[in-house]
Amino acid sequence: MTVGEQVTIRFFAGARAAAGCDQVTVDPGPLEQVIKSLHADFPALADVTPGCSFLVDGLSATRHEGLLLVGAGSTVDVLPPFAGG
Amino acid sequence: MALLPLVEPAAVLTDAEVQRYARHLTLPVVGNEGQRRLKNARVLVVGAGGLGSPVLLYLAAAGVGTIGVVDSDVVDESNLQRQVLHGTPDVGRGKTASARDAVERLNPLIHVELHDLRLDASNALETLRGYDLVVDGTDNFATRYLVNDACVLLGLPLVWGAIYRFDGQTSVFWAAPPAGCEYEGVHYRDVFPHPPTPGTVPSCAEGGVLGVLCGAIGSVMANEAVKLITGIGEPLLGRLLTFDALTTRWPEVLVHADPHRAPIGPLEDIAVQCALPESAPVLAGHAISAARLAGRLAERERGNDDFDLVDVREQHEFDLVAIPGARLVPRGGFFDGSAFASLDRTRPLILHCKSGARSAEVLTLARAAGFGAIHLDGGILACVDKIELRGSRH
Repeated sequence: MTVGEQVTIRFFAGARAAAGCDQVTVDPGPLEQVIKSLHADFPALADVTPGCSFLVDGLSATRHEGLLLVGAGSTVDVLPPFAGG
Repeated sequence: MALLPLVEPAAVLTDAEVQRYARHLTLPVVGNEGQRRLKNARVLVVGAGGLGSPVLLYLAAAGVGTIGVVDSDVVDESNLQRQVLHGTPDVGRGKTASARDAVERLNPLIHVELHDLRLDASNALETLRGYDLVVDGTDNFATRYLVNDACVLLGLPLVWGAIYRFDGQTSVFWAAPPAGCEYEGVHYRDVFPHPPTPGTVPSCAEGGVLGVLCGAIGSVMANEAVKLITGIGEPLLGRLLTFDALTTRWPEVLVHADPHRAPIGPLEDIAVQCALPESAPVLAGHAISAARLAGRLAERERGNDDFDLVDVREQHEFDLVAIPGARLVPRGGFFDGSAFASLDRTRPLILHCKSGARSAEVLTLARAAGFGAIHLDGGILACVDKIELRGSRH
């Protein structure tokens, strides 16, 4: 499968530390399934992702409860919140 | 594509201003008119801490005519590693007064307005109203959601930045940029719709923060403020810039408005959403005094008592000072559940932290998980004179 047919997941801050890499590519599918496969590949992510914002091509998936379909060629940014200043 | 300038230009620059801002005046797109816009600008900086320091210094140096500063804290020695606005002689002073002195030393031609208060639902709108632009460099989620929501309600643009450990995030939020501009209106809740569950995200005090990170993110924030005021360049609206200080990479995240986002609700609700789970007031029987703990430690030493004394602070705090015979299991492990594996349900558990606040939170979780736990009332601070501690005091 070429990159264009896959989904790019980019990890930031604590999510990147938990995954141990900047980004991976996964198969398209419902966001819930994408997250499950990430947890299987990177168990440490399971501790971090519940607090993270998932932006699918810039759109927050939080309100869609994981039902959002992540299509081929999409980018999902996994962004942990922090409030330090 | 630039936005229209946020501020109308002042009528004239004085001779002193022409001299001071000479390097701006020769810049093609800033020039005399841009400098007069800066002079007329009113910017509110929320938080005179790590991010507020570079923002305030650069905005003052740039000649932003009126700068408001909101903060209710006093300068602590542990602030000086990153809050470059304040110096050693300022320790113990109010941050707003210290900020005003530093800014006036740098540029006496501008005007500083002090708001020595903690923003809450009752004062946020009146504090923000009348400014052209708000810069958020606060240190907690409650204030961040409050500032965002107040900016949405008032129609104000918000330059936002946050830092933790080695990572930074910064963006420009503006729910309603001028009609006809090419920018979609986005705000903080399009990126982070709800405040995180209280207690799940560690603060800089617990996790640490690299001092210079404040300079990297804060100067980007000041840059965005100057651009919005003068209407030059492309604002960081609809893009969130992230910074990893360890690899020196600045990946950008695209941000769109969520078409299904909920309307901004009453500001009062934010305090509720961000409040720590009501650490059900600790029952008298669930707390132990420092004097009583000293007695039980001595009995344990003699083999007449047994309990697990667990310190729920962070490693660096434990290294600084600790109760001999305590072992470290940081608080975060109780929130994600990982801590319980190292605990024996059949053994009495005594929890402690620095002041008793964190151990009271953990106590609620531990008792809910079936542990016969109690906690040390007043924490390590209450032990001074009662228990011989290892290391110096906090």
